[in-house]
Amino acid sequence: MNEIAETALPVENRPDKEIKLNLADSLPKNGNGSGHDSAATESIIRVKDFNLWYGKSHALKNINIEFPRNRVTALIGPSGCGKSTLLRSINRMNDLIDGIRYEGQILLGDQDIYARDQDVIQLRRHCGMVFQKTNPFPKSIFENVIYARRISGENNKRKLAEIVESSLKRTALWDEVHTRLHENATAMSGGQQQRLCIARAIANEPDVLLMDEPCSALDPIATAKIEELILELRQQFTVVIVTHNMQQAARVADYTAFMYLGQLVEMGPTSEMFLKPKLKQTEDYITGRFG
Amino acid sequence: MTDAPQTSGQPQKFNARQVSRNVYIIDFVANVGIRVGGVFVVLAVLGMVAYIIWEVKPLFSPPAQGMVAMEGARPTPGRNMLVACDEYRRTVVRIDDGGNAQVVSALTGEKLHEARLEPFKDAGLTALWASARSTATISASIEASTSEHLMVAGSSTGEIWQGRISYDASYLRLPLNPPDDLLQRKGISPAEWKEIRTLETPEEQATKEASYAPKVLMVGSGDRRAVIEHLPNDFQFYRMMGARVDLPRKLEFPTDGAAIVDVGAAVEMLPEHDKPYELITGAITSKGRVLLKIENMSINPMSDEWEGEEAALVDLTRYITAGTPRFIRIRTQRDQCVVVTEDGKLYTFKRDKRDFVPEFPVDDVFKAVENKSWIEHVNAQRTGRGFAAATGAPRVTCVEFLIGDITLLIGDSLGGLQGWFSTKLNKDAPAGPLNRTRIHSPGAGAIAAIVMAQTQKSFVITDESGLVRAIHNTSEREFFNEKVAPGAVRACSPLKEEGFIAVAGDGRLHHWWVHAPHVDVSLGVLIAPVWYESYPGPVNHWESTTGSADVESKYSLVPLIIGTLKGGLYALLVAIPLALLGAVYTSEFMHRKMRAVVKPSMEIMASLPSVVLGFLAAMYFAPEAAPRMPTLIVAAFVCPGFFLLYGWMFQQLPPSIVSRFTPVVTTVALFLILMAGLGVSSLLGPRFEQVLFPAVESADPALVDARTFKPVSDEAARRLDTGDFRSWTSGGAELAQPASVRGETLPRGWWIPGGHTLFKFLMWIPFGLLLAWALKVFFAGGNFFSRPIKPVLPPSVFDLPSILNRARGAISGGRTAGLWPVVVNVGFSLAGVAVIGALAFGVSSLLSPMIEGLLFNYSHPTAGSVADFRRFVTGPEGWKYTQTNSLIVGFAMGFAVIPIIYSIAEDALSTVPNHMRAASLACGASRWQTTVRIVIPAAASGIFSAIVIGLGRAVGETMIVVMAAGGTPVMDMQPLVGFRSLSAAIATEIAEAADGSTHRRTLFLAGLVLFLMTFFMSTLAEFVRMRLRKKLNRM
Ligand SMILES: Nc1ncnc2c1ncn2[C@@H]1O[C@H](COP(=O)(O)OP(=O)(O)OP(=O)(O)O)[C@@H](O)[C@H]1O
Ligand SMILES: [Mg+2]
Repeated sequence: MNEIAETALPVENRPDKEIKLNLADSLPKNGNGSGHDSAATESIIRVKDFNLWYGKSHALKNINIEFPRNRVTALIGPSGCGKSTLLRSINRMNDLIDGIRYEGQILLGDQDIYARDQDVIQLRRHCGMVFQKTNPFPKSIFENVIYARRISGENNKRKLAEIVESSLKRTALWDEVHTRLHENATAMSGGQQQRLCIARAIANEPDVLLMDEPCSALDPIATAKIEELILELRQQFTVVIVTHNMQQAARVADYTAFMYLGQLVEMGPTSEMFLKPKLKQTEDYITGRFG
Repeated sequence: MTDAPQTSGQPQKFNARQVSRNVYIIDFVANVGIRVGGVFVVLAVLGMVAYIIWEVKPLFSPPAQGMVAMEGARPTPGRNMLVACDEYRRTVVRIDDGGNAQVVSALTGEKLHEARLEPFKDAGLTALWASARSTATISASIEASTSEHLMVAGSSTGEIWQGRISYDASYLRLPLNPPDDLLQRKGISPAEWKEIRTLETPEEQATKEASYAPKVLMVGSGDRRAVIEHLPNDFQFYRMMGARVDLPRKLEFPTDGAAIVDVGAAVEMLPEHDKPYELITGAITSKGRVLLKIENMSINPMSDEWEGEEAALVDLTRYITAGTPRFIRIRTQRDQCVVVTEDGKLYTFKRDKRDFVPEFPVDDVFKAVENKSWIEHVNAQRTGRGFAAATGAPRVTCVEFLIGDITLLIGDSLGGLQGWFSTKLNKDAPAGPLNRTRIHSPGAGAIAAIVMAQTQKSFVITDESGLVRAIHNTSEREFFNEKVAPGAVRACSPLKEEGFIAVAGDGRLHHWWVHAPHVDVSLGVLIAPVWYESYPGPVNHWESTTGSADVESKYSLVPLIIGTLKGGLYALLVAIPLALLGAVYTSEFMHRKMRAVVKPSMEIMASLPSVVLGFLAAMYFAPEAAPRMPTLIVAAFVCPGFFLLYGWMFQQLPPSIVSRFTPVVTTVALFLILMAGLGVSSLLGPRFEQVLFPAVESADPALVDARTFKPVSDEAARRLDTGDFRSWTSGGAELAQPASVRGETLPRGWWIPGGHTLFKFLMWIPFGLLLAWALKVFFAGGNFFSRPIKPVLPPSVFDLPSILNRARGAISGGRTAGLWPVVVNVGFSLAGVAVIGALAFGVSSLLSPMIEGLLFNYSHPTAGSVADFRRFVTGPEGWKYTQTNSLIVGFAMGFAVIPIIYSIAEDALSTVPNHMRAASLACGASRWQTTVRIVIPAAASGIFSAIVIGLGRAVGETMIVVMAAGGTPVMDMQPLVGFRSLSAAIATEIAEAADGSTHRRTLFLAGLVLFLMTFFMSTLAEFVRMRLRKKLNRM
C-alpha cells in the first residue's frame, strides 16, 4: 500500500512504465477523464436515495449516484463498504439473496428497474456482468460466448458464429483461441477465462457492463490486457467497475466514486479525485492512510 | 506434524515432546483401528463372494469317477442281451442269448449263482426287455424287501415268456463281535466274517483316491446266495443283497412259430396293494407281425404267481405299410405305443379302450436335418468328434423311452442318436405329433444299448465300438465316457446313478462309480433357450420344483434376470420423473426454509421398511387399483398435462401478478391443480374405458356374430356397450377347442377383434404433431433434417401470423398491460391447439382404419382377413392382466427408490457452485433456463449415478417383489403382468432347496449374478460420481 500515492500519478509518469505493455499508447487521448465532457454526457444509470438491507444490516445507505453513458466509472472503497452490493443492485442480482430489502429507485434510462412490472430478465440483458471469480460455464468456448444469445432463442448458426468471432476479437481472445473454439472453456488460463467472461457479457450487446473486481485474481499482464479491453469497450458500453487497485482506477476510469461504510462519500472525474479530492476521507483512502 | 506449533525464542528444533503424548496415542490407535476395520470389511465382502463361488462351483465342475475292480467275473458263453443291477450296485444280473442268467457280485465279480432259464433250454433267446424302473416293491418284513423289475423275453421259436428280475435286500442286526455260533446259525463262516469291512461311499473314495476294493462276503446258497456287507453309518447293521431271475409265465401269442424280434411291456400296479392290474405286452416277429396283448392281472393267492385274463389281442401288422417292424415300446401310462421299423419309419398308436389305433402320420426317423441328409449330418458330427465317417444306409438299432416316457431316444447303425417327443401348442392343448427335438453327439459305432436313468433325464448309451457314455438329455452334457471291448456292449444305470455297470463285447464286466449330481445344469441350460419335453419349442424357463420326477426342473436364469431388470425398469419409470423433478424443484426453486424441512423428510422416507411397502402394495394398492386402471392411465396423462398448462399460463402472466405468488400460494395452487387433475381423471376414466376398451372380447362368443362381429341382439348390444379394461387385456384368449354357438361351430382360435378406437386415438397424437409441423412449414417454412424448407405460403403472400396478431390486438383492445391481453393470448393459443387437434382427429379417423388394415391384419378363422390392432397388443400371445402386476410393483418399488435418487440427485444439483448460476442469470437467463442449461448439465453425472444407484437398489429389492409381483417367471416386459426376480426366487425358494442340490446351487448362482449386477451398477455410479467431483473442482 506504500505505492498508492505514487501510482495515483498520471500513468505516463509511472515508474513501471517500461513494462512492455504499451499501456500508455493504448490509452485514449482523454484517458483520465479530463472533466470537459462530463457536462455533455447524459447519465444512463441514476441511483436515487437507494437503501438496502441484508436482513437487519444496512448495507447501502441513501446512495445517490449517476453513471454517465459511455464512460468508465470506478467504484472504490474499503472492503465491506457495499461496492459489490451496489453493483448487484443495478442488475438486480441481489434478488437471489434471501432476506434483502430495499428502498429508493434505480433508473436505467428512464425505467425504474425495481418497478413491479419490470422484467428482470430483460434488465439483465441490458446490464451484463463480469464477476470477481472467473466463472466460464463448463461448456465449449463457443457455447460460452453465445450462451446469452442461445437462451434468447437465436439459432441461426452463421449469426452465432459471427457473434463469437466479433466478441472474441473485441476481447482480444480470437487469436489465442480461434483454433480451439470447441474445447472446454475451463481448460483456459485465468486471464483468458476472465476475458471470455467479458466476451460472454458483451456478446449480448448490453448497454451497461458491470465489473466486480475483474482483475483481482490475475497477474499484471492479464490485468493489463483487460484494462486495455475496458478502455476499448468504453466506446460502446457504459462500464461500472469495482476495484481495489488505485492504479487501475486511475488507468481506466473516467470517473471514480469513493464509498465508505455503505455511503457514497465522493464522486468525480478520476483525475480530480486522485489529484485534489474534495474530502479528507477520500484523500486518506487514496493515499493509503487507512485501509 | 509439520504444522506443530513452534514457540518463538526456543531453538528451531523439531521436538515431539511439544505435542501432548495423547495426541500421538489416539492418532496411532485410530490409524490402526481404521485400517484393521477396513481390511476386515474388505475381507468380509470377499469372504462372502468366495463362499458363494464355492457353493456354485460344483455346478460346473467335471464329475468325479472311478473304477471298481471286477476281476472275478467270468463271461457267459453267449452274446450279451442284458445287464442289470440293484439300486445299491452290489449284485449284477446278466443274461445272454442262450438264456444263461448269471448273478455276480458287483464289487468283486465273484459269481453268486448262474442258471439257464427254463424256457430257453432248447430255444435261443432272441428278444429281451426289462423295465429299468422297479415295477413293484414287496416288503416281507421291516428287515427284508424285494424290488421287482418286469421282464419279458421272446424265443427263436416264437414263444413269449413273462417274469421278472428280483433284488432281495435284507438287513441283519448283529452285535459288534458276534459269537461264532450265532454266525453259523445265520450260515456265515466265522473265519470269513473277520474280513468284512465297512464300505466307503464313492465320495470318500474319491477324496482318498483309494482303489475301490471293499471286501464283501458271499452267504447263503442257491439263488438265495447274497452279498453281505457292513453298512457305513451304523456298525450294528449288515445288509445282504441278492438277485434272482425267473420267467414263470408263458404268454399265448399267435406268432406261428416265427422268431421274436423285439418285445416290450408296460404294467400298471395297483398302488396301495402293489399288485399288477393291467399288463400290456407287445411283440414283433421275424415275419413282421406286430402284436399287442392287453391283460387284466391278478395274483394267485396259492402260488403267489401272476395270472392274467386276456382282455384283447391287438394285431397292428396291417398298419405297418412300409418297412420291417423292428422295435416296439409301450408307454408306462399304457396310452400310447410306438413301433419303429428297421429303416426308420416311426409309427405311433394310441389306446382306444381295448384297441390301439394309429395316432399321428408316419414319420421318418432318418429325415433330413436342415437340408442335410441324416447320413451327412451324422457324419459331420462324427468328423467333429474325430470319428471316421460311417457308410451304408442307416438302420435303427435301439429305441428306448427316457424317464417319464415322453422322450423317445432312437439310436442307429451310424452311431446317430436322436430324441423325439410330442410337442403341444400350449399347456392345455392336446399332445401333437412326435417331433425330432434333439440330436445328441453320435457314438463311434452302431448304437448297442440305451438305458434311461431313473431320477433324471439322462441315459447311458453304448455302441459297438465299445464306447460307454452317459449323457444328460436336457443339458446335453456328456458326463461319462469310457471305452471297453467292442461288440454288443450293454450297460445299466442303477437307481441312484452313482455308477454304471457295463458288459463289454468280450463278456467282461465293468463297474464305475460316478459322482455327477449337477449334470442337469450347463451354461446352455442357464442362459440359452432349451427345448424341454412337451414344450412347443425352445424356451428360457425357471421352474425349480415340478412336483414329479418325470417332469424335469427348469433352471434358466434368464427369466429371473429379465424379471429383475423389469422390476428395476418399472420402479425407475415411476421414480425417475418424480425424484428428479423433486430434486430439481427443491434445489433450484424451493424457498430455503421449505427446503430445510423437505430434504430430511425425504431421507426419512428412505428408511421405510420395504416389506411394509410390499404389503401395502399387495394388500391395498393392487386390489384398489385393479378396478381403476383406466382412471390411473388417464391420470398419468391428465395430471402432468394440468401442471404443464398451469406453468405455461403462469408464464403468460405479467410480472406484477406473478410477484404476488408467494411460496405458500404456489404450493397451494400446485396442490389444487393435482386434486383437479385427479378429479378430472376419475370422471374421464370410466368414459375412456367404455370408448377405448369396449367389452367385446370378454365377450362370450354367443353375443356376437361370428362373421360380422355385430351383436346378435339388442340385449347383447347393451351388454357389450361397456368398457372392461381388465378383461380387454386378460380375456380374449383363443378358444382352445372348437365350440358350438347357436348351432354354428366356432373353430379353435375364434377371436373377436376390437381396439379400433384405441388405435384411432393412438394415431391421433402423431397425426396432431405432424399436422402442427406441416402448418408451420406451410406458412413459415422450417427445417427438415437440417435442410431448410421454403414456406408454401410465405408471409409476403399470406401472412397468417400477422393476421392472427392483428386479430389478437383487436380483441385485447390495444392494451398491453393487465390481465385481459393474457386471457386473449391464452384463449388464442388454446383455440389454435383445439383446431389442430380436431383436424388431426379427423385425419386419424379417416386414415387409421387403413393403417390398421395394412399393419395389423391377420387371417381370422371365421371372418377371413381382419384388421385388428388389439390382437397384436393383447392377443393370445400378447399382454395379459394380472392384479399384482409390474405397474403395482413399479409404484411400490418406486417409492422405495425415490428417496435415494432424490437425495443423491439433490446433492449433486446443490453442489453446483452458485457462481455458475449467477453467471447464467447475469446473462439474462431465467431460472428455468439456468437450471436446464447450466445446473443440470453440470450435475448430470451425479444425477446419472443417482439413477444407477436407484436401479441397483431396485434390482436388489426383495420383499416388495415377493409380495407384489405375483412371482411368475416371465420373459417379457409387459406392464400388466408380474415377474419373478433373482432376489424373490432366492427368498422364496432357498428354504425348500435341499442342501447340495442343483436347485440350491443354482439359487446361489442367482445370488452371484445379482451381486455382480449390483456391484457393476454401484461401481459405475461411483466412477461417474468421481468424474463429477473432478469436474466440479475445476469450476
Ligand atoms: N449475501 C449477503 N448476506 C448478508 N450480508 C451481506 C451479503 N453480502 C454482503 N453482505 C454485507 O454487506 C456489506 C457490504 O458487502 P459488499 O460485498 O457489498 O462489500 P464490498 O464493498 O464489495 O467489499 P469487498 O471489497 O470486500 O468485496 C458487508 O458488510 C457484508 O457483510
Ligand atoms: Mg465485493
